Amino acid sequence: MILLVINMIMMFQIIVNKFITFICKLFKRNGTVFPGSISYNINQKILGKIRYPKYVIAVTGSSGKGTATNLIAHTLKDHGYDVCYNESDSNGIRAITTLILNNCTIFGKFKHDILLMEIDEKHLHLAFTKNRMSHLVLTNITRDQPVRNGSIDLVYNSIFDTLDKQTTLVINADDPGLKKCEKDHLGTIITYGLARTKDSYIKSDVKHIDYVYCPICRRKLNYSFYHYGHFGNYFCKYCDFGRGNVNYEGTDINLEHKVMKIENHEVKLNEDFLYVAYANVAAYALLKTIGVKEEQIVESFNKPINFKRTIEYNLDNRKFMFLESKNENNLSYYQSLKFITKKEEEKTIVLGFENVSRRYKSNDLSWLWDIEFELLNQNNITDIVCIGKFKYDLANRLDYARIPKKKIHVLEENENLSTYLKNHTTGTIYAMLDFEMTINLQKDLRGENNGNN
Amino acid sequence: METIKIAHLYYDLLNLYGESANILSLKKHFEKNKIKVITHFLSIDDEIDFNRYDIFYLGSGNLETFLIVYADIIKRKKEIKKVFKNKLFIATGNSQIYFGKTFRTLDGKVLPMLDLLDFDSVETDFQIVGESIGKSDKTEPIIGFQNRFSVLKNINEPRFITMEVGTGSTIKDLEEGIFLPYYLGTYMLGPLFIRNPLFTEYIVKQELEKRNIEYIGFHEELATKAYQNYLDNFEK
Repeated sequence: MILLVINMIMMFQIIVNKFITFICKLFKRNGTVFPGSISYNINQKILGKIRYPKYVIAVTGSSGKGTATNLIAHTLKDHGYDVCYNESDSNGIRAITTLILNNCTIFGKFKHDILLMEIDEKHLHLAFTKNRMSHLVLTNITRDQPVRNGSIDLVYNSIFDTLDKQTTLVINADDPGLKKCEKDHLGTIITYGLARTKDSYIKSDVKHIDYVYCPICRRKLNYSFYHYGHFGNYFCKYCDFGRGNVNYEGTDINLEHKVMKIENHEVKLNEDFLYVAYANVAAYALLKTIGVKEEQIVESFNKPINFKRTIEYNLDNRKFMFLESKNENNLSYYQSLKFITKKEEEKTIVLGFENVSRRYKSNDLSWLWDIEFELLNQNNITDIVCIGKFKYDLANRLDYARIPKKKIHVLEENENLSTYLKNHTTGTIYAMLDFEMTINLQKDLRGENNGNN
Repeated sequence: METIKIAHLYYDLLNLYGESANILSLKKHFEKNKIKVITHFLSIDDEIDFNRYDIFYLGSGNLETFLIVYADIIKRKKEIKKVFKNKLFIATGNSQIYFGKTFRTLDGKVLPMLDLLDFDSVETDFQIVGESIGKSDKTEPIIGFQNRFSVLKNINEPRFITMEVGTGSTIKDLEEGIFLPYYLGTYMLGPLFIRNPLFTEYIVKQELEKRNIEYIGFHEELATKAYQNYLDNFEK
């Protein structure tokens, strides 16, 4: 009797989810989160009742999970696998609930052969109890979203509380904070990483890194090189902890030409960021682990892929490039800054955000001081325009980074950014803005705002 | 030229979010007052001559890094005790705990601390995280952020901030932060001095007075605008 009631509730939740999604679509609304919010609130254990396929693959971490997920999905679809995944960027528990319930029969049987999810690192434990995931790809754990995450050790614990030995882990072994899971995880662990590149550092290029000490014996770690942040080839002199050899390694990385090698296969990179190289080797490792042939993987990786961190516009015959930038994640933000500084032309940068996060109202600004804005001390950066509610915090950070005051512009609320850029700045424009600002400015550039932004 | 020596202790472990900015801010304020600043970054196993420095700064850590530092700092208890009241020790976030008498962990262990100030501390079974605004009779409202795994208890030291937004030292009351001529400790962490330029002025002024040096003053325009903007927006 109790079982019958439980099943009835589950069926009700699935029907509610599907119905609300239908209504959202009817009114051309984004129905990726709202249906799941309703059904999840009816019974938060719903995802534990679903009958899943053999392959339930989650991809999580502080950054790079979206790129890796898209690459895995792109390859699987390309070769005819029946895969269901979250195409939108929504990766919280409510979006995952929407995705899963919409792809179930009303009796709770998942309808596809593979469930693939990019999932928020702090929501993994909400979605899955033990025995559910067949594979988990872990991209990295770094300081990120302090309001939600607290600190990196809490994120780690939250992820590993969800796992048991039935889940095969695919981990970025260049991150000592993940490699330490060898002592915590009883199941299979597949490792990946990147070999030294011509841009690798002997000393970390970032001052504030999360792992200076061995997570096992707590003595100072040694690095033979760093890629960025605390990612690199490390070893402990006092115990046997270290990055060591990995199962899958990205080698011969050439970001200028957007190529790298994995197991001696040359693969194209979608964009010239090192995090894309990480995503490629993570996706390769996962795909090969679940039995996709390496020739198929390489073939798909080398086809055009339609997802990017950058979008290009034009303003008065000047290139205007938007870079996706993650507030609160110093390494992600730093990668975008570094991308800009590598471009040799004369350039203007626009920085700004109205809110630190889209997820919560708290506006902590600590992360601004973990980012090396000192990088922007370049002759060919002529102007940096600070906009939004925290424009003075940004300008102050730049001032502390010893950027000449004449290059720092603070745009007041009554000034139009496009007009200001046309009249007061030169060169290619690179913008690192929050989501709403980006959308609004892009509308302006397309002439859809009638001059109001 | 007068020189102030700052020791940033355990800089590579107690740096939860943006805390090295506090050293930058102090340096800037002292330098604008014609004081030369020498900063040394020191950590585990380094030789530290506590007599050499005027100001010691410890940022916040997570529980793991807190315990790594604990194993080192407790070995230096005698040396720190000798100089404690003749210097300025600044502790933001969880590093305040080191200066009290004991710290009780969730599994019931009671770790003896440096025993320099009269309070105990306890690990919480939840993380206290959020924006903070507190009033103080020493300066304008102090803005900041908390991200902590502990509370203080049995506090017999004067506190100088009354929280309007955020959590006090003990959760049950709104009083927070201990400010003595030789010690400043608060659960507000991150770039506290950068974000509160008027408070930083107050601290620098106090340090100069100790040395009978005239305070010239320094108005940080951008930091002050950022501070004011934050308060204005928060109130909206």
